[in-house]
Parts: sequence; structure tokens; C-alpha cells
Amino acid sequence: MTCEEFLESSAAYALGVLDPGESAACVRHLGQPGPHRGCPQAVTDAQAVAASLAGTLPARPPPPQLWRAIEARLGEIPRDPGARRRVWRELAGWFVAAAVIGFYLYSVPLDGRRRAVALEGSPSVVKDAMGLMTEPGTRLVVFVPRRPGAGRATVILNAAERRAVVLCDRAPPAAAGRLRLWTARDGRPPIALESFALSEDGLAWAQVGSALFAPRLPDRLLISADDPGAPTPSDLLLIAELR
Amino acid sequence: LVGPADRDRDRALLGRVARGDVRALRTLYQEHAPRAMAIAVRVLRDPQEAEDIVQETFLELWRRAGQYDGARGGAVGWIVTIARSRAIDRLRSAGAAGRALEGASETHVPLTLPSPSDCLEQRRDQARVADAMAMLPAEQRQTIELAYFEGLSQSEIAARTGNPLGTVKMRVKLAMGKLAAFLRPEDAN
Repeated sequence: MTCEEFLESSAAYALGVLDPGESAACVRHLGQPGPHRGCPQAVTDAQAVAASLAGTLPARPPPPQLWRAIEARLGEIPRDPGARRRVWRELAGWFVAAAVIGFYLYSVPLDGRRRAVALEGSPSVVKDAMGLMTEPGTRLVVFVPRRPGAGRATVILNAAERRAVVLCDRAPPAAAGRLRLWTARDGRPPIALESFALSEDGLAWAQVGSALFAPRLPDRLLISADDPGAPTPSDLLLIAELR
Repeated sequence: LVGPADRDRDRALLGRVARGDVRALRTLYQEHAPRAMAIAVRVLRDPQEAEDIVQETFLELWRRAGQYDGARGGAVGWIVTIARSRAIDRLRSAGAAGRALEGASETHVPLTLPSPSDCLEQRRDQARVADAMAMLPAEQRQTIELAYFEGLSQSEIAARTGNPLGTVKMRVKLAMGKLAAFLRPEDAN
């Protein structure tokens, strides 16, 4: 894509209305070393115009209790980078343990005492992962990296339970510090699911509920670097074939 | 609609948020949550789900305040962009995309005049953007509304309106260009 071609699409790109292939081409173009002919600035300007469109709506004050709900949750979000690293290191141990123990629980008959020991003290997502491992019908699908250094990931899913857990490791740093899950069905644009935090160590995990299975299991599950507002995966890292 | 003074103030507030200042976050919330709520309600058409989106938006702001780039616009633009993005994500992930795709024409919300309860500055901005939208030819305005408020892609807009994809692309480009020219700060003209 040339700068001229990009500038033709820059407004649509900023508005988030491009189809997946076009959007990916724009991302690749912006990622190319310069010189550009004002491409990044064109996106910035168009994004500002897009954001101003919300100004056509009458302001709508949220109910008073909403701020209290937000304030109550602020403590859940680590602020101190040092503390954050420590938490991630601790969780990293559980991540590895979960993968190993999860596989073990999946492949051999359960011993109640061993399972209790494995679950003790683990974070909720790991508990969920290990719990899923013991459910009939649970599948484990390994993601395929789209490029070198894209990391690795596994999804543990159970369609009957309509639950899944995605575990990532060695993911590359993402600009927004988060990854995003997408579902894809043949012939249709990907649909964004939730984003989830990425540690400085490249670890991430997500618990996925019914959204993944509605209306039915998708053909593929994608993981990209999170790019809020992007209608399609702008930096696709991993793909899991679910069918 | 965001001047250099506003950006400086936003940068200072978000800098404080990045250092963990809850009062600064509350200031941003008080000023911009009504805009986030408005766009979330508009996209989702469900006030309760919209409240969840506003909550997610400000928690994300709390987490990512250190990444704010003042050169890319004011905080309100950033907040609105996050809220819209999250709302569209939810619309699609909840399987409600079909509802939006099929039902938007029945629930289409036209441009509104400013509310008397809004502050003067907000009303001025609101009227200015509404004026800019009103100046667009009807088909360009509809295209932008379907894109921005319904979260439809150009292909989906083409399918919805029965217009060729190339026509939709041209309308998006022309409309965004006109809006940019109209909304450019006076001192830039």
C-alpha cells in the first residue's frame, strides 16, 4: 500500500469501518518505516473528528452510584510496577503449574487429595482451567503463532459448559498492555471478544463465557495485540482452529 | 473542539491519574462520564449495559493513564473512543450485532438539539458538531451515523442501504473530509 492509497482509506480506518483485509493493510502501512506523506497525522486528525461525533448526543450523566462502584474497584488494579511484577511472577508459577497439572488431571484418573493440593492457593483463572479439565467434553486446542515471536497459547474449552480459559505465554509486548480475543467464522469478519491484561513477562490469561459459544462455536479463535477501536485484529499473533 | 489549554489540563490530570490520584480520576469522570454514557447508551440502547461500559472505560483510564498522548487529542476524545469501542465489542460479542444490523433502522436516533441542562460550552460544541452533521448530504450523514453509532463496517453499510461498496467508501471519505474542515478550530482556519 502506498501513502496515497493509505490516505484514501485513512478516514475509514480511523472510523473503524474498514473490512478486515483493508484494515490489516493499513496497519501494515503505518508500521512501515517512513518517510510517510502525513499518514499517521491523517489518522490522528480523523480520529479526532470521529470522537467529536459523540458530541451530537445529549450528555447523559450516569447514576450517582456508578462512581462509587468504580472507586471500589480501583484497588483491584495494580499501580506499582514493582508490585505488579511480583504478582505476575507469582502467578507465572501457577501458570506453569496449571499447564502441567491441568494436563495431568486431564490425562490420568483423578486422585482427590492430589487435586485438592493442586488447587490450593491458585488464582481463580487457574482454578477454572483445572476445573474445566475435569469436565467431560473438555477440549484443549493449541494456538498456532502467525509469526516468529508471537508467543504461544492454549485454549481449554467446554461447549456444554459454555466456558473456556485461554492461557498465553511469551506473548510480545503490546502497545496497550493488553491482548484481545476474536472469534472468526468462515466468510465473515472477526468479532471482538474481551481484552485481557498482558504481563511484562508475556503472560496472559482470560476466562471466556457464553460469548464464545453464541450462537455456536466459531471456526477459529484469534489473539491479537489490543488496539481499542480497531474493528479487526491489527496485530494478529495466534490462531486456534476450533473445528 | 479541544484547544491547547484543554489538552494541557488533560495531560496534567491524566499524569496525576497515572500516579494513582483518585481525585484526578474523579474530576475526569465528572467532566466526561456523561459523554461516555451517552455514546454507550446510543450504541447499546440499554442504560444498564451502558453503565457497565462507563465503568470499564474509567477503569481502563485508571490503568492506562500513563499512555495518554496529548498530541492525539483531548481526554474526552480518548474516553469517548474507549467507551464506543467497548460498547461495540459488547454489542458484537453478546451476539447482539444481529439486533443492531437488523433493527437499527427502526431504532435510529436522529441528531438531537442540545439539552438545556447542558453547560454552555458543551451546548456550543454539541451544536457545532450537529451543525456540521446537518450540513452533510443526507446519504453521507446516514453513512456516518451507521458507521459511528451502529458500528457497521463499510460492507455492512452497503448491504444495509443497498448501495455499492464503492459508493459507501466515497461517502465516508467525503463526509469525514467535510466534517474535519467544518470542525477545524477557528485559529487553524
